[in-house]
Amino acid sequence: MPRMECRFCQPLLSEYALGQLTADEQDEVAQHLASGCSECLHVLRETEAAWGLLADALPPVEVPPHIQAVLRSRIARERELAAAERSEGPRWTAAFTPEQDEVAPDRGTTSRVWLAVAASILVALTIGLVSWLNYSRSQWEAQNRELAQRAREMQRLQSELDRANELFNAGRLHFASLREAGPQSAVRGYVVWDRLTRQVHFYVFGLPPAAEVRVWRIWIDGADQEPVTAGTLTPQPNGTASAIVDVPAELGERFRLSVVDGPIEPPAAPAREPWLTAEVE
Amino acid sequence: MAAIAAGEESAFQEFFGRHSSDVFALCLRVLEDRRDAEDVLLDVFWEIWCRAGRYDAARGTPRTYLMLLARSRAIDRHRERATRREKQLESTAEIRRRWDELTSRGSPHQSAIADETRSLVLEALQRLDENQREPLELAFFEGLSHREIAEALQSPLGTVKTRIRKGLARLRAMLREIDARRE
Repeated sequence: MPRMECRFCQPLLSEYALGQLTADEQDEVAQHLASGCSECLHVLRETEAAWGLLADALPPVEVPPHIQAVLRSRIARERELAAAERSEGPRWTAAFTPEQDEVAPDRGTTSRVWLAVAASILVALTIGLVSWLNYSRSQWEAQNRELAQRAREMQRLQSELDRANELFNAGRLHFASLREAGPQSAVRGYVVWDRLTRQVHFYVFGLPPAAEVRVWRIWIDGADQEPVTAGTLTPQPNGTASAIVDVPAELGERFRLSVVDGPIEPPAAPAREPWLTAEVE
Repeated sequence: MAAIAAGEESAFQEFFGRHSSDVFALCLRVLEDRRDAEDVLLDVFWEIWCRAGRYDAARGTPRTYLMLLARSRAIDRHRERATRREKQLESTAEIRRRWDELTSRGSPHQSAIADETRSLVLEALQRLDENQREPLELAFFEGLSHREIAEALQSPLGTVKTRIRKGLARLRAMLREIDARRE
């Protein structure tokens, strides 16, 4: 592609600064600038500053305090996540260098044949080992990437929940995610705790397909209290379910919600390990 | 910006304190909706925290970089929203009325721009001809291309381009004048 000349580049810089050129024009201008044309870079710098004057003329507007709080919380969470990743230890890498063949002095045809056979076996073993190591490493890295992606997704969801809590009247409503119990910890829904009416609203998705429809029982577990059953969740054919349950006053303001795949008639305590859990406070 | 890129949270908080109320004003001006403006404000500062290393000092001041980034993200949100509901082109008076409504929140707000400098900028902008200022504002705040501005103003494309070019040239001259008066 022929290099753009300054006389063609400069008239485009006002639109380039605002990202309003076509993709081809934007690329051409970017290439010209990347080539180090100091004159056009100077014009671009002045043009951007001139556009900025329009923003400078606006009177400042007070920023709601929750914005800074959300940013602080995101940064803290990002750091926790980074620390957790570091504590998993150094990344495993395999650097395999096959040893050089050390051939013994010629002791006749037979020993050469045996040497050739041994060398072939060694080469075959080496290739096999390297392939296996590469395969293991790629598997491990793929899992690592997936885990990191999940961690980022969870961080994003948590930030959104934090934000929702801050945006709403936090004195009355509290949002929490409903996660799978155990190491997977995938988000399967949300709960909204309404302190005023002492009710929890459940919104669940990704339930097992219609063929396996069961009734799920909701348990509430307060501090120093026996778990109490609060209601049931009946999945819809599309795998979603919702319910509103009352929270007894004696359970106070902090409790744990569990969704258990159990019999419809409640026993004295959850019969099995919970499938979904949410902490409410 | 180098300190932010190095992960210094105090530098980031200071940067936020200095510029956030101006960025919020810009987002409100483009989006005319407090909730959308808050979303974009959060996204912009989060982007600064995560990608401050992308800032190139040769391109301009951190403030210009920040304001153009915020403008770009706000325009993106504006376009995304415009696909859901058609936005009517409003008169300048209507925009001003809505602006007053959106920003009537008493107390003075911290800004990186000193009041004196803002007065100089306002004075300079008021000296622009309306037929230069309007296409500039449509391009900057509404994100319209030259062609779209020509359609909105029912003017030939060449005329719009000339007005924008001359308007920007005047702004650049004003910028130098403001810098000289500040020194």
